[in-house]
Amino acid sequence: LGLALYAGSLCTAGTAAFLYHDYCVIGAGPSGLQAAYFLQQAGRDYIVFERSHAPGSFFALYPRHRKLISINKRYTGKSNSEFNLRHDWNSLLSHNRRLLFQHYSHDFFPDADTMVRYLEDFASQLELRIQYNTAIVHVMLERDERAWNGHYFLLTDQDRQNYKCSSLLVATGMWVPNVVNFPGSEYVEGYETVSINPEDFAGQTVLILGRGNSAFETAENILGVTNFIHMVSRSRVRLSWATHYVGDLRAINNGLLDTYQLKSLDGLLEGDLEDLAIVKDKKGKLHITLRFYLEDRNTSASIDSVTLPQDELDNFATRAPYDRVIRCLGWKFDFSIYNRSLRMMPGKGNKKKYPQIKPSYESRGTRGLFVLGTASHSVDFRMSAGGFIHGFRYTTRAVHRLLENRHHGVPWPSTAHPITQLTNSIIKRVNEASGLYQMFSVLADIILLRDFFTAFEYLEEYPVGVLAELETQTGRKAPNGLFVVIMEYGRNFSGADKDVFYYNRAVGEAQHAWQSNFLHPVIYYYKRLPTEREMRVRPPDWPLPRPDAVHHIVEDFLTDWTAPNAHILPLRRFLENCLSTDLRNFFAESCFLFAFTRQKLPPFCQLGYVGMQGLLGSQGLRRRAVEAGLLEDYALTDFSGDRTPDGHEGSQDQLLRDHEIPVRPLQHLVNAKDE
Amino acid sequence: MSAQKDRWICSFSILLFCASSVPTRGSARLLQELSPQEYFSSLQAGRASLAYFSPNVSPGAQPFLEQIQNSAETLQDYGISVVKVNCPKEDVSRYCRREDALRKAYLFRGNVLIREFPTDALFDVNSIVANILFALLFNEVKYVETLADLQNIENALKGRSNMVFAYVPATGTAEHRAVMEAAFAYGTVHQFVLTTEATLLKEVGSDEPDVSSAQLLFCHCQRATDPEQPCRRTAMGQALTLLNIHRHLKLMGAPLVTEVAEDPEKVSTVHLQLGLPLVFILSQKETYEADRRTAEFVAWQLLGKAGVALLSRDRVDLNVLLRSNVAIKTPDEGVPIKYLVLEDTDEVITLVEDKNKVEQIQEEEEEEDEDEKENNNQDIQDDQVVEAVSRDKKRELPLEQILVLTEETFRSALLETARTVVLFYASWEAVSLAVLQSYTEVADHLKGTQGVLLSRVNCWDWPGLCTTENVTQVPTVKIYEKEERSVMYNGMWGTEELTSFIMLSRVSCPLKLTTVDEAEGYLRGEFPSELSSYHHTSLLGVFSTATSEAREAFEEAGNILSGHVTMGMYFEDDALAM
Repeated sequence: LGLALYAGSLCTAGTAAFLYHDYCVIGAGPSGLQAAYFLQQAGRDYIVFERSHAPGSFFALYPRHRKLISINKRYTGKSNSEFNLRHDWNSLLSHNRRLLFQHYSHDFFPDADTMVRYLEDFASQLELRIQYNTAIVHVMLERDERAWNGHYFLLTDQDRQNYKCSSLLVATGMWVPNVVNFPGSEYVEGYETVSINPEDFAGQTVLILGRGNSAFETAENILGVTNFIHMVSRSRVRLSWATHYVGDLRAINNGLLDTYQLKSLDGLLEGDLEDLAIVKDKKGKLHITLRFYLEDRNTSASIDSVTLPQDELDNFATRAPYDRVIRCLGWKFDFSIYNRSLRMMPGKGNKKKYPQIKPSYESRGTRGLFVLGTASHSVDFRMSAGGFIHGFRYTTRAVHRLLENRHHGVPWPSTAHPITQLTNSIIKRVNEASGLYQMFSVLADIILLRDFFTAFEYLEEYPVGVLAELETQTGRKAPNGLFVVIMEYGRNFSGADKDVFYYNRAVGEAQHAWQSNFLHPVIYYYKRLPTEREMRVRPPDWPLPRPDAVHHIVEDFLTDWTAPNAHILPLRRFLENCLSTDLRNFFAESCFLFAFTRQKLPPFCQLGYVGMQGLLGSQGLRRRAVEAGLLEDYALTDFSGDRTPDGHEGSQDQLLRDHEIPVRPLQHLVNAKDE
Repeated sequence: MSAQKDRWICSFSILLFCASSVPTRGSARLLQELSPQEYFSSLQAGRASLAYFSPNVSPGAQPFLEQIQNSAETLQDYGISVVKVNCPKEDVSRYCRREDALRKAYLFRGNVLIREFPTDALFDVNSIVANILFALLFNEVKYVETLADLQNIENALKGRSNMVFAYVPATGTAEHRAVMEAAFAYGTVHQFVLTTEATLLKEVGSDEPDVSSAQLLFCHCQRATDPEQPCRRTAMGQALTLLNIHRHLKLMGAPLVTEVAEDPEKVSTVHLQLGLPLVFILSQKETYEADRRTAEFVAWQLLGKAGVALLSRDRVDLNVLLRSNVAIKTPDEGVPIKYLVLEDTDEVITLVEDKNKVEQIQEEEEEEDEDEKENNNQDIQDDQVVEAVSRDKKRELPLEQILVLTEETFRSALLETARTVVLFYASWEAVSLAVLQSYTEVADHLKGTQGVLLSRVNCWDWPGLCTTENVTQVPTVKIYEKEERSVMYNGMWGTEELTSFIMLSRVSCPLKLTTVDEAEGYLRGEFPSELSSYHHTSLLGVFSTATSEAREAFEEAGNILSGHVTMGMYFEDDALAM
């Protein structure tokens, strides 16, 4: 009885004290602000909680040496704002063109302080609702039938103020430093506190634990003044230009590789940090030894009594003592604030620093809880850009669109076009879309075909991992099949140990497009929406299950896929083959002829010419078409003086031959790269 | 094909004839019968002889003796004499005396006893020849039982000489004999290794070996450089007969790739002589290195099945298609060399491994050619608009008359002129470029016309602007009236049509006519005067002042039809008089 009373009183007391919002966002970093922007634009009831007094507190401290490695490209030779976002890795999405990072910094690799300033501006100029100085310390669930997801989220801040929300967007980032415990780890300095003044390292010998960008950034800073630097980590170094993953070691930070490989001055070592032990000698020098040497004795034993590896193996690699050991092992997600009922579980293997989420970014444990930003990177870890601003600004938008559909009946935005615009729509998007480009193999454009393939709906940047749930997630119907437009690297191209400069690494001919290695568009055709099972059993590393047909647009040195013969024509043929239709353009004159000689007109004539919008074309152009043998020239007799008589014959044949799309068996179109 | 087969059958029959007839005739003659003294005194140093001792002229000739007699001729070929030693009754010398003399045969080299064979090891000619040679060729043929033994031998041979590894399910069989006979001939050239261990065969190689039949592998140890790797092996695919082994060794001994610089019709190699096809890889100077690698690769794959030659186009005047890259010459006489275009080395290998496919591939080739033609068709631009535009792309359009608008200048430009015509296009899209051409002609027609500004927006440069202006596809033409509405052009994409539309939409629609003269002029097409040169449909609405509802409907229709027709409206007091 006492318990019931207690629970009852807590409940009544609780409800009174709860401040309610439909959406609660934890964290006012880039992804929190990005989510807030979309919620604000949609007119939703939301609040952002930020533990610091300003947005982007992570960037106020990190990176320690203040140089962001996200590029800020101000010139691309193009004015297309969408395209330019492909090379702007720092801006968030908004309608305000002043809120582009290029207006904040001229540096290609900007200073982190600029990011803090940018985020402040983003929050204030867009008047986002952010409650600063509010650290959410606990999150729990309250079951309620009426709630959107069958429960409310109850949040408690450091002052025991409670908040209640229908949907929780976790944008806390990854800020808990990874620590390894081994005997002597107390002598190790952390990246978060280590001095960034190179002079403090003058004449010292330094050991760095870790081989990520923070480790190399630290090394880069002190490279010139140290005696030498050694770097130890469990696995080999992964260079981002070989892996095509922006989170791996970037060229800007790799000065240490030079000195290692050229002069054997500094060095990289592979080894398990768990096996390590550090012993301090009387002079304060740090000696590396192995944990099992220390196992029988207590760690406080003096240096003389401890076996060092070099006692047995006198050329042991790290026998020289170090002045400092610095830990640069990255960060992990803060799991501590979630009540067990939320089942926020760490991922498996190398994703254990991330919480487990579905490809829709919803938590695997709790419906209605979405993880945004860096913490959502488990979806595309070591592949795409979902852990970085230039990637998660798009996944955040995708999550927002999913929520709009789920909770407010607003279907995924789409545009409808006549089928004649199919080729153009794809070409336009693959040439300028930034979301597809940054979030390759993760976000895809979806083309839903309407009845009789006369028209289509175009949905942008849908998370392909939940393709099977497309109808419920977007509120759009796909009864007549669909195309999925996605960007991919060649399957066997990227990898830490791959030579990405090998001869003939790029293909040029359209017929070899499926062997393209660099990022290029791929179009999948499904006669019906893939099922969840098909999604589940798809080959590992494939973004999508086996399609009815697939088309690769050949990689392009300029990433400009507008060449009429190499890019557009093969694409059009592919689409024509899938739909058994004729997607060519015609001058009005040809349509006129077809109107008398055919039962069915090509869509371009049907929708244009028949609707009084035919393309007449200038005389000059029509003459060109006649020259090419593609246009009958009855109406052009007035300027036909210079044409050859047999050209006439040829062109007639060409035109009168009913253009039958050679419908080939679709399996021929499926070019699986590993076949 | 059939001719070749006939020849094979022919040679086989001769062989059979020899095998069956000669020994029977010769056995009587070749088998010596000597007394022990005669025998031992006749033994010459270095000469091997097989002797069996017969204490008596045995009553019933034992079957084994028959077999020894039968093998005498064959053994003679290997320099081994077969002697029947008749032991006189009183002879108690070593061999005659022994109880088991009748159950043994003795092999001597000179007067040294090398081995004694129990008669059950000599059950037929094969077993006799096999076992005797096995004993004599002790150094030439190593017997191994374990993989380690084999590897030791292999390693010792690396870089020096090749190895012939034979597996026979049992000794004394015809296959064993064939191996021993081959070893007799080739033992000084290659190291022979023999085993009867099925497990060893499994360990050595082929994934699921058939351990019930004998197998022979040629191990290319002479070329082997890597001490870690086992020598490359070439299995002999055929049954283990002396002839086949001989053929196989001959093929293995031939150069991997023959360089040919003469008319390929005249070329003859070991392969052709042995009834195997010869594959030519056509090469030229520029690609010599790559072709040589290809040839070597193919040669390894085809080793024992066909020869591979590298034919240099530069040095031989070939009257074949330039794109041909492979030729095949069959051993049949009179069959011309076939020149082929093959995509990859797999095709070359299939070509040889399944001869029947040669024809098929050729046919497919032809089909493929057709396919290719079709493919070529697929590659050829058949979109008349795209093709016309790309053929015309080098022509510079007179675009001076058309103002380029950007996201920044768009709004302000609209405010400057009464009417701004905007063509929204994409610089990569063919239809919009075709329309842009007509648009320049429109600009030319309208040059000097007051109150109309022609402009364009490239949606590839300014996608945001096009989206805001609700342009969902290109090309789109919109006419913006200063601080008022905008009209989307939905007529034909032609110079005249667009010009006329722009001109007609300059006049308010409907146009208020204030005098009867104006109304009459309007009907004659003279008013307004600027439209007189544009062919168009005119409507005149005459309203009494009371009919405001109808007038409003007329005005509404005018808004919709603006640009397509002219509409005049007269509603002065004297309207009813018209």
